[in-house]
Amino acid sequence: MKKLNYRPFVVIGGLLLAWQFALGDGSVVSDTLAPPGPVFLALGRMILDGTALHASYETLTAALLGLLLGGGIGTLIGIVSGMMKPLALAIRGPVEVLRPLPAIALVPLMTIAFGLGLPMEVYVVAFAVFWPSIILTQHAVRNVEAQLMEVASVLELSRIASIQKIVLPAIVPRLVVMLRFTAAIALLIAVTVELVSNPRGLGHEMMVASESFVPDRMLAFLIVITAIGWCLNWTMLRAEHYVTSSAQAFPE
Amino acid sequence: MAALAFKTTDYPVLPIAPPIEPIIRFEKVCFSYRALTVMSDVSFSINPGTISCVIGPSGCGKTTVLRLVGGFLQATSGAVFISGALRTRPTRDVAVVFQDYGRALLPWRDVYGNVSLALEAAHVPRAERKARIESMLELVGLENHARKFPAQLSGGMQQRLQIARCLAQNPTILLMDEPFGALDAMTRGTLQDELLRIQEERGVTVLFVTHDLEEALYLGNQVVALSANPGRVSRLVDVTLPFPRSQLTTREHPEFLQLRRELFGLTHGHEG
Repeated sequence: MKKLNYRPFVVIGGLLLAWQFALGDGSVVSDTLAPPGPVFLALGRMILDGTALHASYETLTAALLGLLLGGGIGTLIGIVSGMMKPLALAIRGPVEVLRPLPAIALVPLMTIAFGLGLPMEVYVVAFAVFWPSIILTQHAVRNVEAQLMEVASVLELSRIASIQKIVLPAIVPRLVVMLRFTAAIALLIAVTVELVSNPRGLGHEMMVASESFVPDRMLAFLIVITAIGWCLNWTMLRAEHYVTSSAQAFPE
Repeated sequence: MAALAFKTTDYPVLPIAPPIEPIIRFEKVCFSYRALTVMSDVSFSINPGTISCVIGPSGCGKTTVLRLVGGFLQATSGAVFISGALRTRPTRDVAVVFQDYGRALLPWRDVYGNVSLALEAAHVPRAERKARIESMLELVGLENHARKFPAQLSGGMQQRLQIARCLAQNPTILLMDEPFGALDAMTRGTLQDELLRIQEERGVTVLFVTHDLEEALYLGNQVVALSANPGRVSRLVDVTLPFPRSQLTTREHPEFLQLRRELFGLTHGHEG
């Protein structure tokens, strides 16, 4: 049994105590901040009545669908353009122009086009993860050992077969790292779209709580979002670790 | 060689053997990269079923010779022919054993899977693969390591694996780019002997690039000595040392020693 590292808990406990003492003796009533006690009560309540789960489900659905759509198409374009230099040169201009555009700035446009709701949020998330997916995949493909590509040409592997048998397995470790980055972006953008306008999910619940001056509920949602972000990152790190250790054979 | 048999009824018997069509032929090949002339007016030919070694100082275009035969490069002028056909692109019947075995194997596939790649590429039916992979592994002495990954093998074993994969593609020509250069002397000697054995067994034509003159003389039926700046053929030598060759007696054979002395200056440039 591994010995538990207690230090982070000491720090977290200390912060909670400081938080409690800063505003927690009951004499101060704030519209913007709440002491930890009521926040955790609110958290317990929203877990029990299902709001936390429902809101998380809505946010995660949008984030994952957007990730699937934008990341999927982006990865595909990245692989193909990584293998065909003319195509990479052709798309470089548009990519460089559109990539710096903040995805959130598309919310008004997407709202006019698709109305509020799930699809609009999915498209904004997809746009945000699309560009990094293209660029990172392209980079990964270009980093495939040149000699392996020569082996593919000596064996006269078809383009499809060399993608399937050589390129894809070779870039898996880099794709997993990419997924960790893009998944974080997807969650960030989904919550932001909900905060800005979309009436669904964790971001919206938080905004409502904030606008109706219920700070404990607002902070409880913040804790839920943090927990989800943390779980996501942990899962991706495990996946990364699994891929790099099971392919025992990656030199470097 | 049934195709070369003469019908004695129609023709008078020739007093000399009919000429064998060379399997590799360089015809006045020049190769330039940007403004640099790497190779100038190189002509030689190689007969099927032989081992030819290309030697020369660095910068003489040894590797360029191999890449031209491999179909990775095209001659700037002149032409490279394989079995009479102009060489334009890599094909399966010319296998390449790269020096850097670590970069030429699939690290995510085990020994068995790496050999399998060549059969998959040749569309060999699944049912036939197992037996062919096993016989390849036996040929190179890896039959007890089929489930290991390249990273779990020593350098010599990885190079054996690469040779097995190349033979699995059933090539008529085996190109080897300093394949044993990165290995220790003991392993190198063993693999040289294994190569001679395998070549005899399979009858494949071997074009072997090395900077090691003794290795070239030990392995070759023919040695193509190149000189540098730009690369030219400085000597074409037929090595008539008897087979089977042996690390002890061949290396002490008078012909070996004489050729070594003659060619030493060519390969070592001004140092010689």
